[in-house]
Amino acid sequence: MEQTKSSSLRRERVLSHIADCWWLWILKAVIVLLVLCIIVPFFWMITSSVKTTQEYLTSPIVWFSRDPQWSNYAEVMVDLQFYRYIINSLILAALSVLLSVFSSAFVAFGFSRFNFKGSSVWFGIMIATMMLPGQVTVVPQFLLFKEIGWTKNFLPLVVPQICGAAGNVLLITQFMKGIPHEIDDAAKVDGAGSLTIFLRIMLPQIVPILIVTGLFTFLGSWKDSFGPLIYLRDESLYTVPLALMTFISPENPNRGILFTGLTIALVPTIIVYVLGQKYLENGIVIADLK
Amino acid sequence: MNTNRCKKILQSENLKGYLFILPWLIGFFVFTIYPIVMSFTMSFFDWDLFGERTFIGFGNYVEIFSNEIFHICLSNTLLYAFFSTLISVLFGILTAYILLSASWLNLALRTIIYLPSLVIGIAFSMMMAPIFDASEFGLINQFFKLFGWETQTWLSEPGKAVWVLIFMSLWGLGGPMIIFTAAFKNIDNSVIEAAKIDGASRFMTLVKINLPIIFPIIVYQLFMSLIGGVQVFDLALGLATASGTATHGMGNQNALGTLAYYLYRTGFGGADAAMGKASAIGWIIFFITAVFSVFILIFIKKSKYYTKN
Amino acid sequence: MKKLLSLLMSAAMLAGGASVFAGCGRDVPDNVLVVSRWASVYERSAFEEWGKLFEAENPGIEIQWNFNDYSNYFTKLRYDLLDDAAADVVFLSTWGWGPYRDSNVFVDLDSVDSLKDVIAGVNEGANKQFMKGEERLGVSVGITTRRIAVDTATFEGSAYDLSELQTRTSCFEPEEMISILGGVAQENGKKYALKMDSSEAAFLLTASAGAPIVNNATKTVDVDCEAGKAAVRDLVLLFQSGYVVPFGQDTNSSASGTFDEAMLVQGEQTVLTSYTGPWGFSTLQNAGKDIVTLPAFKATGGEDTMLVTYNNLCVPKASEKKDMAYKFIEWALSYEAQVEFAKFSDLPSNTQAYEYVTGGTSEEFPTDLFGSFAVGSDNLYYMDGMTDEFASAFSAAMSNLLNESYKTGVGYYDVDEAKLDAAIDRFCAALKDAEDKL
Repeated sequence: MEQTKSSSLRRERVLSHIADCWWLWILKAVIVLLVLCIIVPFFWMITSSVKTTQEYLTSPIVWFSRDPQWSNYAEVMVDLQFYRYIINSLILAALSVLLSVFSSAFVAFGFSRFNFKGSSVWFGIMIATMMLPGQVTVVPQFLLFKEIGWTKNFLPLVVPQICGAAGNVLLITQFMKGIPHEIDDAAKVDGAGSLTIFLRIMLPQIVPILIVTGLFTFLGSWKDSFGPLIYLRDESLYTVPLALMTFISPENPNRGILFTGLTIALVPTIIVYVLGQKYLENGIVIADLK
Repeated sequence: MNTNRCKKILQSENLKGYLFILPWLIGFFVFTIYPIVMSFTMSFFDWDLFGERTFIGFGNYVEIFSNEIFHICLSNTLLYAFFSTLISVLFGILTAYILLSASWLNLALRTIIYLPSLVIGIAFSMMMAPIFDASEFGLINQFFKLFGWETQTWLSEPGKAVWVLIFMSLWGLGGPMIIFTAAFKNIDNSVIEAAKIDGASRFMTLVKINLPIIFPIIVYQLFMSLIGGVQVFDLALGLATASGTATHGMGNQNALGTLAYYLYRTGFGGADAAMGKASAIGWIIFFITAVFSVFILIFIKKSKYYTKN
Repeated sequence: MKKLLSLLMSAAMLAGGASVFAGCGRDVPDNVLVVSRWASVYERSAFEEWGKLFEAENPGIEIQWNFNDYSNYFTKLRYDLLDDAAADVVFLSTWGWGPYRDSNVFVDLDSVDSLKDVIAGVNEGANKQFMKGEERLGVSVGITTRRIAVDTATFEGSAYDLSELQTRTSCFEPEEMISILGGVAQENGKKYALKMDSSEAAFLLTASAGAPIVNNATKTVDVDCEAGKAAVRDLVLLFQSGYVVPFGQDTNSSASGTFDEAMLVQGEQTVLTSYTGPWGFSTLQNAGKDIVTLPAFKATGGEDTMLVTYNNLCVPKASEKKDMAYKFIEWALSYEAQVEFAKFSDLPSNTQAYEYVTGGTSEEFPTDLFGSFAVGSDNLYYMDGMTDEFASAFSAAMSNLLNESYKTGVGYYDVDEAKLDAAIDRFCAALKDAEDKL
């Protein structure tokens, strides 16, 4: 008697659970479909990295190379010294992330926790600077850096990051708005200064979003091809996107190496993303334990 | 007396606030304001980067507005901005919500959805080329043939190419998804538990509880998608290059032209470097974005009233 | 522990960054001349070898090549020049010339005494290019041609003698082209098509027509030009024959890697021929095709002409080694250097060298570039690229024209003359509307 009652209750619960989220399952299926579509071009790109030029240019698409040129990888990494460009890109990206994330969080703290005169004006101006497409200010900025004498190297790409990026500031501000004030107030009562509150209390709570911001900044720097193009002269300082451009040419007898380079370039970004996801999940645990 | 006043100033909200935003302020005054002002001034000049700078007043703007290419780009951009914002926010929220738990499947799916954001610009056009190929060998066309549907000239169809562009905005779904994931995870579980106990369905919980809590993030994403949408360029350039019609125009008869792409061609890509005109286009983009932003602000104000109730 | 680790990592990054900064901005030694040209990693050795010949004749001067890259060369050049840090000798092509038309960045080479002789030795047509009024901002070092690339496989077992076609010494007229391609198609039961881009089509409507519809020199559109209209008619019929694919797809998408020449390797289906230049031929050869080139074609009744674009040498005013730069240019335009140049790059712009290279059937020169067909240096048409906007309007007008004309099948057709004429008139009117964009 007892058994059947509880099992029928369980069945009811399970059924209602399914009825509750049937729409979730459907959407999940749609997502899986989308994911399959996304995989296709990546798959093609990776398999193209070892194709012969002829196979690459053939239609219909050749999915798997019959004569895989594994030497492409050696050629790209060693002969064409791709590893140098990867290192350059990594250094540049790491610097950008460190400077931009911390600085943006700093500024965001100011906007979200302090109600100072003119804060909404400056906030509005900051958002407004995002509304102007970057390409418009590229040339004047170039001329500005030329006056200072900062061209020909990384400086124009790194130093402005110390001042925080508008997009990052906006994102972190929005997150900070969701953090309740109680702990701040408690700390203030204990005599903590604003800087301490920022470092000891706010930062640990927003670790997830800092990671996300870091990820975005990393990718922005990694993928940037225009900035390095106009500011770097020395080929040994080139970043990955620029190096890849040098592989493109109609005279190139081995088309596959471009894809080899692209595939290799994908690896560091995937690593960073996976690490980021891991810390994201961990960071949430830390935040929960506050 | 003086030390007290000093202390007061030092502890005042105003000073502290300004101190914290000082890095950005410095950056603004040193690196940002001069280029912005100069670009605005330049939009009234005829400047070819190396030639003379001649003042032509509103000449650039008049030329742009009377150019039919501009109108194509304008309509494409407006369509894209509207729909891509809708798609980003809606799908971003849904995807983040559905893939929220940290199961292996979800993590894998999330990673794959984010993959597109990792590709470098050139990779994008090369990856898209075999898919959107207008001949019968394009991947999508082959897929269509399987079902007996007619093959299409995807990216080469003036007027229709923009819808392909809009569909491709899904390529950038990873970013919003990650942000909303982080936002959802930040929600205090106790609130959700309470709702469950009260017997709310998943759907109700999502709409009535999760969404209002992450409202600031939704606002953020609305803005960013909008700004990104009005400034869409990489996607358009990539698709146009993939279709092989990018040399003399932005796609077949400028089908894939967007305002930012038009800016790029005018000032950077094409045979000329008309920086004055490019600046003018940039400021037109700014103006359009500003107008859209006002709409969003109004929407926010209205919904704040709603949530308050 | 974790904190220490992350601190160490940050320190390492900063150190790495600092070292990178320290390593940049190296100065170029006084005896080194920097020459820049676009070239991918695979083409560099040929230029370096050529440069060594200069070094041999001028001991003490070393050449440092600056091969930015193939696709971004012109963009990068603009910023290098803005930064006063461009090379001492800069290669510029037709396509990249736009921003410098009215600029002050390059030295007027006419003012250099030592170059007067070599400049006089260059083709007359080439010498009319890169002029800003009376100032000569660049001097032509090579000219690039267009020919029709054909896959020998398509002519296998055909009644048409490919070798005869290759060695003919005059341009094809469109009607001839139709009958040849059509004939081969019928033989093989396949469909062939000829790809060309709008600027090349515009050429057919301009120089070779004699009195052109679109005159890029005077920036005018003449809607009443009968010879031009006849040329359009021929072109339309060529496209409507079903053998020839019209514009829309450019043959120049190097950045994406999807060359239209890729269509040439489409399985067993459609094999295309292509009206293109050396860059296109390499692609086809790299794709494993056995390519042979045929002389280009002209408008019906027009003169034998060859469409060319040009590559020039310029000296930025900011260069601090102008004397060495002038020496290099003097050498580069000399007969011997030009002949060597033709072995791996463009046709020489030095008249004497040009006659030599195109006159004989010498094995030294790549036959895929020049073939045995020689158009005299007087009959070269220098294409001064249309503006993007006009090219766009041109493509659109041409597409409309082709859509409107009576579409027929492969082979023989009935053409409604009246409809065609009306369509051509509308085409000319559309071009007239776009005249201000020239």
